[in-house]
Amino acid sequence: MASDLQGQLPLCKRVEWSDVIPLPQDDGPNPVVAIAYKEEFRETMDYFRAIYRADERSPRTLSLTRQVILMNPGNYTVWHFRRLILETLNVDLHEELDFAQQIASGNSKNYQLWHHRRWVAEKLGTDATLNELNFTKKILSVDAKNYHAWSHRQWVLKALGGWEDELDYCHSLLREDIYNNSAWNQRYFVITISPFLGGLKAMRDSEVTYTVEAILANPENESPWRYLRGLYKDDTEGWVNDPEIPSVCLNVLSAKSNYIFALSTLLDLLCNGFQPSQEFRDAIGALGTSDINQLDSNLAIAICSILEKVDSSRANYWRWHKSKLPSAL
Amino acid sequence: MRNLQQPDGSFMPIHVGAETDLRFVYCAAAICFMLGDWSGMDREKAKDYILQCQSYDGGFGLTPGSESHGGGTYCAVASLRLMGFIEDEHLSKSASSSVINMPLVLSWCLQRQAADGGFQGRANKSSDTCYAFWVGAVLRILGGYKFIEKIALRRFLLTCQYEFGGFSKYPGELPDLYHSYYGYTAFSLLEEPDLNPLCPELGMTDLAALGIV
Repeated sequence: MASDLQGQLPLCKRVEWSDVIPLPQDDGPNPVVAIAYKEEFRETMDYFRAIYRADERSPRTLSLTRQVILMNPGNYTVWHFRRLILETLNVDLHEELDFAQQIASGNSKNYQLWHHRRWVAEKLGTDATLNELNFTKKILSVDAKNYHAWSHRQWVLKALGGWEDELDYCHSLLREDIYNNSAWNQRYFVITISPFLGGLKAMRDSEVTYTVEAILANPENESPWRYLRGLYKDDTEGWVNDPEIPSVCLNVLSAKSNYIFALSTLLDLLCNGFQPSQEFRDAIGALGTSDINQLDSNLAIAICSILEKVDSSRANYWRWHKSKLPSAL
Repeated sequence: MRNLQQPDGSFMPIHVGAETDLRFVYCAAAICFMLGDWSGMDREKAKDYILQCQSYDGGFGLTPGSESHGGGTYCAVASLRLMGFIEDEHLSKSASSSVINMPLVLSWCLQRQAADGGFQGRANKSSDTCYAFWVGAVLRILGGYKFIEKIALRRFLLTCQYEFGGFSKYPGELPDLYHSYYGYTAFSLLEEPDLNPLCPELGMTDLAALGIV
């Protein structure tokens, strides 16, 4: 298959295209800001327009769509027409995966490419599962947060399966970068939806343990704190009553460093009815952010005051939050 | 446009087939709003799809299950506002109930302001000019814009301004039209002198919105 654009005769000089009259782009009588297309691009598009108008679906038009896509992978009309040709010619779609791979190497954030990949995978069915998981894994090894790759991977899992190793995959990515929020999100996706695991409630205890470990290693990392809260989505009672939660907050506060999320999490607990022991008041006092005697008797108010100082980007928010607390009214 | 709406409430951009996600729900809502005609979409279904896109951390992904993202969150909240499912400046009012988890989306949005003053599109990613609009506009719609650190944001945005004009995604890079436009909308939200006020849910000036609607 020809994949190189250089050293080719122009289409108008090629014998196999001599029967086609190229169709120029109709920019209307008074084009505004007309694009200065390169000659090669203009010609290729003129031939495409001609065969598209004629609805010719043949090996030569299939090849032409490849050329157009290489020149402009964003042209969704050509991608669509290519799919029509593939169906008519009943082409082996495994080869199409190779083509998609080629386009992906320079354009891993192109929407049309990913949609095409999904279309091919859907046609190939479960035969394609491993291939798709490997493909997205390869893209993610270059950019572990590529949104399209993650989206495609989630679709593959839901439509074609392959869940068995997904939790391990998330873990391996988090070992490489514990701050990778995409991997945390995927973890949540797996534990809630995988048919091989028991669902959120069943996975909760082990996930809390996993997350607490991640928090203690890097308490300034937002992702595990959000994940922890997410484990108790729609179950505030469970959230307030799990001793692991205030425990990890206390742990972080006792270390006296990177405690902003520990404070805001504790605040959330207090607002939901958590009754703190004296340990918490002592730990907060020991932070040295204010004179221990000036710590407000209401711990939630005290925490807001501290956060106003130490989380200064959100000072206005903490001030507002404080004003809305029951005792403040 | 009605024919482009999917059974799950999302929208496809073209009839021949393409990806479906919150971007096109937003486009549909904006079109209907500007035309003053909602017969082109089923708002309830669209709302259901949007709600499915709210992540465990409060932000919205572009599809259900996807990672929460500044652009997704904008499309979600702006759409709900345009469709009439959330009131203006909800957070400033005493009404506590809402179709989405408001305190959590507020917290998520505010956490997107990084130490360098700029806004990131997702947790633990670099600040990027355009999210000062995508996330900033959500805060403006909800009544939480007053909670951001404006001086730091302004300082960050100026580091993304190219010496010959325009804005880039990150400091020190070459500008492009997209980041330049959203740089301007971000400054408008900051009420920069000599810039016109912005209609956050349409991403254009109030003046322009008035002319269209």
